[in-house]
Amino acid sequence: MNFLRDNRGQIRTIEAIFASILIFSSIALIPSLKNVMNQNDQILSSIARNVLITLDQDGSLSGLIDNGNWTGLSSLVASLLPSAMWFNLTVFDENMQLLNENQISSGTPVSGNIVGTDYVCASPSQNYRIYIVRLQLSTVN
Amino acid sequence: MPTISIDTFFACTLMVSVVIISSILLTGTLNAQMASVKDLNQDEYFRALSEYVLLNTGAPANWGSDSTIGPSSFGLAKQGSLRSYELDIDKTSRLNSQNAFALTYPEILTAAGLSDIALGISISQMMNVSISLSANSTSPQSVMYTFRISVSQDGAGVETSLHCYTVARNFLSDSYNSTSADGTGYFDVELPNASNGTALLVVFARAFQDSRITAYGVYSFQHLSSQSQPEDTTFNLSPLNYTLFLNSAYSNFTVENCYAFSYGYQSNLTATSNETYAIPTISETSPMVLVTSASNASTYFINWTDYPQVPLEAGADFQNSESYAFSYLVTIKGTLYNLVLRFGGISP
Repeated sequence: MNFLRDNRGQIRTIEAIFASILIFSSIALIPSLKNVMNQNDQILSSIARNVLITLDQDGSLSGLIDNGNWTGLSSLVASLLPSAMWFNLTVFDENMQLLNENQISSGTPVSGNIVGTDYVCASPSQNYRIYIVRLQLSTVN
Repeated sequence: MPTISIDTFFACTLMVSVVIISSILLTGTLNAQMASVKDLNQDEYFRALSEYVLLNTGAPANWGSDSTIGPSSFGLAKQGSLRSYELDIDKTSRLNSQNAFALTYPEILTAAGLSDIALGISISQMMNVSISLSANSTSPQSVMYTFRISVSQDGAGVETSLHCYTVARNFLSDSYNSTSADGTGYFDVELPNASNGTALLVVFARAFQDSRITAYGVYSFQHLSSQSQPEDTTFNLSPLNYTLFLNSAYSNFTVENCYAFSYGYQSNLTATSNETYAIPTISETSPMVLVTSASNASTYFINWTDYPQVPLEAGADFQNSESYAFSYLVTIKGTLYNLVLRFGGISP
């Protein structure tokens, strides 16, 4: 009976319940913030994919890589992207060895969120080489 | 009052305050979260719709080239194409309101299966070609015109190669030129005094880095004449299925010449009937500009249209209203264009 009348710990229990509610509510909010960021990422990712598909349509992407024409590749990518967009293009071979010795970029890296898209293209030449092209994009404010 | 009671009172007050404040904050954040999830769902839905429109031919698959039918399902992709985002020249032309066989906005919405969503489609050239008359000098037999040609992309000048065509009465000439690094070039043409009336300068610009980035500009001017050009709407030109359809108003006039120009080629169109001309299937990666000159006893005029009929704005106008916009690079007849699909007006 003494145990039932002993209510000294009740307020701490209530406090713990409220604290738990607050913690779980905060945890529940984290995915929504992630989703908001993903929406912008999706736009950049979609643009990058669209540009790479367009470049590869007529074989100009693999042709420029075959010839190591990094300047031509850079100006071609720049002409297909809005001017207010930063890009960085990296070319790997099938063993993920870096091929472009020069940086293919529109300038110094930006501080904003950078989204990268990988694209696999095959050279139509006799060597039938496989390239992995990574295009990173970010919006310049 | 014992000290422990005061302590308990303050503790309870503090706790209730914390709960109330946190509840208010939580409600606000949850509302934002629900709105963001809803936005995300709408964004995904509209993105899927955009991809469907650009990657599917629609039904029937040949709805673009057959002027007698409209689409039951809306899609702009070229039939039989193995490339993504390659659009049909006739389907895009039928989105242009200047084409006699253009789809109406309700037809587009019905075919796309959209009832409570507004849709807007805009297609533009990759480069902007602007032409202005910079000088002219007269001699006894002719007039020398100097034009300033500016080629830009997103407002920045582009170094391009140019092919310029000049059309006037009984006169046709062409020449190659280029723009400098700032996108500016000059072009001279000498028109004989005998070919007075409306004259037209058609300029094609091609980017050095990719022949698919080709754009055109047209400049109309009066040569030794003050006669005004008839309204374009009166003398409508509608290309479809590689046939140029002339408006019936042309029957009162004699069509003198009909030309098709692209960056590398020019051709005389052959008449297949009184009101139709066959357009050559030039496989070059370039838009085509179709020019018609016609006259009667008192009037001589030159009219033109492009094929595909781009740039165009179709559907809803979202100016000053919120919309979901999706940009794509698309290919029409081997030439690259910017396409923007806009959706909006969905009920909250």
